[in-house]
Amino acid sequence: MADALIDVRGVTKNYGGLRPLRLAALTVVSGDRVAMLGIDAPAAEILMTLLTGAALPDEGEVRLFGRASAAIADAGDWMATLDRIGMVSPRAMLADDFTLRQSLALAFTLSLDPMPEPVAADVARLSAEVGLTAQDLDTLVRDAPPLVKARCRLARSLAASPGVLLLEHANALVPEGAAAFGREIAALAKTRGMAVLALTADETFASAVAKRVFALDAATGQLKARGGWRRWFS
Amino acid sequence: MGGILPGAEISPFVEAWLPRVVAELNGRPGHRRALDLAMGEGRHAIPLVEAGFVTYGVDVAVGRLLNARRMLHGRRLDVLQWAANLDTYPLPVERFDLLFCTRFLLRARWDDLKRSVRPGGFVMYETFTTGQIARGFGPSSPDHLLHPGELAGAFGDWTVLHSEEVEAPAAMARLVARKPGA
Repeated sequence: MADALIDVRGVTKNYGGLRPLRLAALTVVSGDRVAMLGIDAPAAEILMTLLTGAALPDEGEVRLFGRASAAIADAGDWMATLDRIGMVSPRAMLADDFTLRQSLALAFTLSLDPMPEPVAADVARLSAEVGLTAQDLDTLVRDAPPLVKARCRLARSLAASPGVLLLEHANALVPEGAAAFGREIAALAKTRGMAVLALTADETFASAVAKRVFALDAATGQLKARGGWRRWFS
Repeated sequence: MGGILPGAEISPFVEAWLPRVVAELNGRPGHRRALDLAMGEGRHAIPLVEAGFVTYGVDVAVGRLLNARRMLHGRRLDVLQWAANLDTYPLPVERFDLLFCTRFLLRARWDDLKRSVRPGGFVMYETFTTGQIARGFGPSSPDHLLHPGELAGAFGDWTVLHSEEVEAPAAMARLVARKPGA
């Protein structure tokens, strides 16, 4: 599809699991919000590497912004592609001894003390967008509640103004209130015109964040649309 | 195949019995959920939401669901809707405190409908009977009309609070019953 941000066709990837990761077809277009259920943490991690061009599939093709990931030529080319993708994942660590303001600033600079004024302005803009308060920004990561830390991760993922946001089991960041966090992300994506692809096992979160919800059949790699009341009742 | 006949007014049966069902349910922990079966244009979703139910509406007709959605949003009321052919579409089990249905018949799925209600939950059901054939309006297919005693018999193992069959102004059967348990 010409205007697809992500287009996956016939992909398999062996990663040492019980079976290879299989994904027969997935297309995410501009402004789309898609959730995929039925993919566990190890498989999700592998799929993230494929969707960011960090790894290539054993079979099939991943196209990012209209271009095959296999065609990424070098590190500079890859970084340019990565700038168009935001990622929210429990695997992305926040340093406990930093404040949230410093954690957010690291998305722009390594100069934290003193923080350059343009960076401080960007931090303020992003934090306001995700609902972080000035008090939150002065909190140490170790002392911040899960939702505040999740919002910090979300804000960092938006630093480069990505066209598509990948959520890797992001609901795990907010064990209580994942659906509300999903709605926040959906509203933010709508405002920005940003696409979202969520990999999750939480149907409520999937329903909150996405317009289209699919369940992955791991054996065949087929995505089956998830609709009806199953969107609300697990 | 089930049968649907649109109507514009809130049924007097609903006006009379919904507050009593709500009163019976008050005190149950958590959200109260109602399933508006074959919700159509959503006229009965209004009193359900206003009575405090988290209301789920299902209908085969997407156009009716959209009309209902527009109407309800205009009143600042929210209903969770989905489109499905109820002849075949599976229903969740023990999720609803109230199974609500007017002017629709799904006789092939009485057991599934009953299973969708939580123990201690209620059914409110009102639809036409075969007596309607002689009246010359409304549904005429036997598939869409209750036989005498059929509705009460379908919920015969529940505690019946109200059951009646009338011939005028339309031939209808009405039932309010509570599922055993809890």
